[in-house]
Amino acid sequence: MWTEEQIVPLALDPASARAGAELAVAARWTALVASETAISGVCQGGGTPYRVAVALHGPLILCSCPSRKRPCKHGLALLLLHVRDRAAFSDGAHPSWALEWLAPSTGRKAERGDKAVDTEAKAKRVADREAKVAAGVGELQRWLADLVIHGIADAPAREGAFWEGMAARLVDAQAPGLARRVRDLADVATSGVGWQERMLLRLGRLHLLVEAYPRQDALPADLRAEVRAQVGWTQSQEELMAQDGVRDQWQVLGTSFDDDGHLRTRRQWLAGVSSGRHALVLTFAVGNQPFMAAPPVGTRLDAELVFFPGASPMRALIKEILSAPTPVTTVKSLAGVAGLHALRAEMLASNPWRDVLPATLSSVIPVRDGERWLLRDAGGASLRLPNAFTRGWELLAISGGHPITIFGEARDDEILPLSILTEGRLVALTQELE
Amino acid sequence: MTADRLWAELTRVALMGTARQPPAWPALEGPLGEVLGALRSQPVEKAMLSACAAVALYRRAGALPTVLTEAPPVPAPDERRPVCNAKAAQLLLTMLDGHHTDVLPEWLTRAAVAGVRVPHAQLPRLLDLALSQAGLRDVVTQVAGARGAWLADQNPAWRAATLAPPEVDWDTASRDERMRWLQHLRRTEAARARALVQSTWAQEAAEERQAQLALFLTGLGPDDEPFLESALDDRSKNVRRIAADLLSRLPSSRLCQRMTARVLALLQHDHQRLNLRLPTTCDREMQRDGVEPKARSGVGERAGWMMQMITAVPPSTWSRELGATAAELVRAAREGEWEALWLESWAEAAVRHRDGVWAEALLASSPKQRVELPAESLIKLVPPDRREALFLKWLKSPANAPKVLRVMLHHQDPWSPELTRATLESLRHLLANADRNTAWAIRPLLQRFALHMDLSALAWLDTIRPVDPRALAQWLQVWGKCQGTLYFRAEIHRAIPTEKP
Repeated sequence: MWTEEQIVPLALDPASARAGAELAVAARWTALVASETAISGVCQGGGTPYRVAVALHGPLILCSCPSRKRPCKHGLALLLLHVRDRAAFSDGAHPSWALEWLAPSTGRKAERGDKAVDTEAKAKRVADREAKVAAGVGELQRWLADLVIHGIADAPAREGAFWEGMAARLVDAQAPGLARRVRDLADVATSGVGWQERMLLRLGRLHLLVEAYPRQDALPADLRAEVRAQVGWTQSQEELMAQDGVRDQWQVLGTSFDDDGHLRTRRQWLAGVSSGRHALVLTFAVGNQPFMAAPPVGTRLDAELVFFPGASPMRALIKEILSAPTPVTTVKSLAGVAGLHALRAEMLASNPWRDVLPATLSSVIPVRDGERWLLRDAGGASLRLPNAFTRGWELLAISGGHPITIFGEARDDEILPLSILTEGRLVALTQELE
Repeated sequence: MTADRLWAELTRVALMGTARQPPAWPALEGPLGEVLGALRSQPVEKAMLSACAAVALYRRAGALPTVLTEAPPVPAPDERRPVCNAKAAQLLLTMLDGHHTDVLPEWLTRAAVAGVRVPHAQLPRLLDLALSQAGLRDVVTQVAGARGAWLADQNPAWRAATLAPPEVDWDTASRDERMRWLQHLRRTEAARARALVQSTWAQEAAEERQAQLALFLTGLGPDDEPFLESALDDRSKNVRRIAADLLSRLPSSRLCQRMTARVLALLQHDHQRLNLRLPTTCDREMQRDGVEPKARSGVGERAGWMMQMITAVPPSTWSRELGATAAELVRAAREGEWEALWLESWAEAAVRHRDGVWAEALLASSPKQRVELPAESLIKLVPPDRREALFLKWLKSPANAPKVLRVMLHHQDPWSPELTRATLESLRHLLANADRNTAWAIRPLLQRFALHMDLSALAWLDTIRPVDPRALAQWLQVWGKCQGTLYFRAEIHRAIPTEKP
């Protein structure tokens, strides 16, 4: 049967997951029916009630709402409710509309209940969004130009509304990726010493994106996919899962966590033993929900991963795990700090928006530099650890001044250690906060 | 122009705005130059943003690592102790996370006895702990292993707390630095500490002299005597008082000899009876040796002088001078005229001179005697096995139990199964007859006992609970805690086996 941890990742984005979780209360539903293979119900949102049916194997989520997102929040909510409050469902026969929707699911795939897939309507919806996003991109281009014409000197003094207004218009234009970058500018403006350079760096990167977007058709397919993903177009995970993946012995190298107050994100870094590829698996959880169980750091599994399209893509989904996990005993590492710099140059050449790199460094020694920590490689080249990293003494204790192997997330000239190879085992340095 | 200079120029222009300061970048060689050259046809603000993107990428992609020139620190030496097993490590982590922290000393002690060390990753938290709990310092130093010593050396705070504080220049160091250093030296090189104090003694203010001299209690030895003797003539009364107190703890000191001579001159001992004359005056010499002439409440003036003198006499003197054992003399004192005077003075003398034989003799009939002795201080002087024998004897009479149990709080060595059993039996008896208030008063005892009792207590714990139903409700909570402590200790015993001595 389904569990909450399995349902949340079905959401296309954090917003859907959140909305779904909010709707998963029995009070919002009528006509809840559960059979062995399917559940159905009517969601009493504000205004029009929507009919929702879910075929549990699959799951195939069907809903009468007009949202373009599939699965929509109603579908997710019905699945969640079924897990949380089984008693709210009555056993017995599904209503005729649900039976009709669900009938083809045993045989052919049915997109929605409205008989056949309305390809024409779908094409129109996509075209509508394309137009909206393009308009948003155009507006952002003018906004950026304006910023540069008048100078950024007064950026720290700007009110929040200056940035938030633009970000909100981009959300309306259905370009959430751009909105996120504009909100990031607001943070940078008030980030203190050195903000000017950080701001300029981000303005340049954002400019590159809004210049590339209108020309996306002239770009190679990978880069085009990257540009669209950066702007905020999402990829259907269902479609992705249907594609062939990369089968390899995948090592789980490290996990990091983010929490924006509403949504928690788990970033799992994997490395393929024979492909040499790195993969990033994102998982989201709302509120106090635990994350879906995942293979722990320091294990290796025979698995098939599907990568999201993009330029030298890393984001991936685990399609299938084909073996029990075994411990990781060795890892492939970069050629010192210089090796990391070389890798970054190579990555930037194919994807100028890449800011985080997975990096395994061997033969490094943690050293203290005033209040900060550095990793020093055999040749003396160094890399800083972020101020926020609180386990410097622990690293030093494990190393004892001897060279160690560390995996972490590299950003600019810093690396956030996520795991350490000690006594022939790869041990996580992060743990999910309770 | 380099890319870095160009970036600085772009930053300057971006701050001012292209309306006020149109960018004018020079021709650059190579691919970056080509990219920038191609921007000339674009509107200026667009060209500006494109240049930012291009130069930023160019600099990021071409960044070189910062190279450290100084050598890394000398690596830690190899460990000589094996690491504790995974189960023991996990139990330690539980305690470092704030659960069952009162059992931590037992974990550390067992690990020290078993000859194992803590895993390297847990050292920082363990050293932090040693920083806040000075009592754990020695055992932490043992189980921290070679890596712990090396690590503490890298962190001034840990080094000060666990190993040696950094050596200071005595003449220029701050008060705190001096005191820390002195405290450390008194433990390791008492003579050197004394020499430092003497080097500036004449110039120090009274308050400093007092503070420095007080540290002499650590590492106190016969070599300190001449200096302390001279401090008896100090200008400050407080310094004189401390010096006299310290000298009264050194059996070979001239002060102790003078006191012994004074007391023996006043003693009249015949036929197992202790008789004495009280001194008639507290002369200048007596005052110099620390006898306070003013009477304290409850004791006569002259009796008070006598008592102060007896406390400076090493108790072993009495057996030698009078040809009787401590037990015989205690009995004699209890039958004589000056019972309180003798017993209280001897008790204080036993504590000062750390005399276990006398401590035991004084305690032997303690619960019954009329004179209240500092049982908590005395009991620590008695060797653990003799202590147990005393407790077992005392616990046989139920009337003693409340008093004995409180003294037993200071018996913090591992308890034998017999003592554990007898204690629980005694508690059971107490609780069976206890009202709510008595039951309430006993609660904290059980909790503390759980840290030292033999683990066989787990089998007996069930039998003790108060009869009063209201007391029972309160009891269940402490009872559960006590059981939790014992279970946790049992896990530690399984994870770190040690051979019983």
